[in-house]
Amino acid sequence: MIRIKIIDEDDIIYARSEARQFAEAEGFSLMEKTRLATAVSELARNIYRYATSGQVEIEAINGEGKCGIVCRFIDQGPGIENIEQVMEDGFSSGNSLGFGLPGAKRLSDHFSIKSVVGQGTHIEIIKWK
Amino acid sequence: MKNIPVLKLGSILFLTVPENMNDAMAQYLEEDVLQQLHKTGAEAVVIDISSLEIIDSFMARVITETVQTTKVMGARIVVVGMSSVATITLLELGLDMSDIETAMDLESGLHKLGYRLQTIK
Amino acid sequence: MADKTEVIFSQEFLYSIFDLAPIGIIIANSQGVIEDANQYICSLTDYESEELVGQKVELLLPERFRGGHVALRDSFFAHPTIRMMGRNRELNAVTKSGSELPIEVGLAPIKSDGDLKVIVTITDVTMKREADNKMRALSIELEEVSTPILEVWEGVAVVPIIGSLDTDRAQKLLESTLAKMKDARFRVTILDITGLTCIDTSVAHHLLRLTAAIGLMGGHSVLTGISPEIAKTIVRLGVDLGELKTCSTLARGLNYAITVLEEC
Repeated sequence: MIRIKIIDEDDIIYARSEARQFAEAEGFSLMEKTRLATAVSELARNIYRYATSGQVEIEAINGEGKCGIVCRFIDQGPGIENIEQVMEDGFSSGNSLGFGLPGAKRLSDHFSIKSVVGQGTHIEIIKWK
Repeated sequence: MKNIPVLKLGSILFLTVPENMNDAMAQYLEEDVLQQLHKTGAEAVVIDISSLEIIDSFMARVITETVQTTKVMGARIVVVGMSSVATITLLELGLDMSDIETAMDLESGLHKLGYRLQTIK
Repeated sequence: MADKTEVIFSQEFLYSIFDLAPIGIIIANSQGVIEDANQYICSLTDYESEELVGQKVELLLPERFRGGHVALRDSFFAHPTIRMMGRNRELNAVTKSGSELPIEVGLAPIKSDGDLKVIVTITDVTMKREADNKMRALSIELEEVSTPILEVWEGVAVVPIIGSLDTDRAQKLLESTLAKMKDARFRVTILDITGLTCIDTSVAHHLLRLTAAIGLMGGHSVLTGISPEIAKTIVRLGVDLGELKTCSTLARGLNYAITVLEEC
């Protein structure tokens, strides 16, 4: 399991490259590796953009005989007030195309999000082999 | 901070997007293209993205905005070298890239811009 | 005819049913210790009955399953019901010589003197496993054969979509079409749906996604083989084909593709 603090932009690239490597080590296909890395890039970038501090945890797991990669995005940012709204495609805030959450969800096999306004957000995604 | 080199060939500008471009470099990308267009009066631009393994929404936005501003400046522009895997993830991210003209490789890109390669004997 | 309830089997006879049954049977207690093993399981695993009695059932499992099995055992005894194992996941047993054996296992709880024990039946499914593997390989082959991507002209590919297009198949089709497109530099891809058995919103969505992907990569797509029936269905479903070029027959589609090439 590795933990990467997202402090500057290069950490986004580092996080997604590590996720890719974890997936490569588990024998994921090119398509699946890319989906995972792209989702990690989106979610890590959110931390960089919207939270003052945060980290990404990447771990290889085994569940029901399948192997997978789980990535957790934990930040101490402002939190998301209306989770349903941000999970809708087309929602946009700030100067970006939206939080990229629905896209990241589509790229993942499992997606869960918890957020408390004023405290932070915790997102977990899993990609199964 | 290194700028991305913009090559000029006739009335075409070529640039290759480096693998791990970040926010700072991205600003320069669009800026450089526009400056060069203005300076040289080039008619067409080819952006090569074949070194990008991963195209997230940030990168997609950089590309789309560069394309849009180039068109506003009156030049034609084509994006070449999109990998099949990146294409699929872009669609899954739900990004609308319908405005941009793409081609599988440099030669098809030039075709689309209306140029042909000819050997001079 | 004698009433069943009247017939009394001798102890010997009852034991023989267990011992000589044409299926491996083990009796184990709630600690997972083998209390009895019949002849079939002994010959299957190359152990003598005495070597199995008193051992944990994990002895008959390959090392990698042993750890997890203890928890499975405990959960069985927590909620003892008849269970068949190995249907969904591939189970293997290990013989005395260390070789592995594909098996299916059945579990049934049984009370003996107030103690809860389990009847474990073990069947050798080597042939079934082989047949399953063959089926899987064949179906992969079938998939590849049923959606060939054919280059019919320089830079023009035809993809005949035959049968049904479910999400799995659509995904594979998407990946292989794009990859091949890039490799062989197809400028136009003709998707022929003459052989498509059903077109509903999900199939339409898959087709449109495929054409969007082809477009995003800089290629052209043409949809051909549209029968009047399918045309009506598409309209009724409210599917918007947008700018997608359609042709009623493959021949017309090919004609169109060539004109597109000439224009480029």
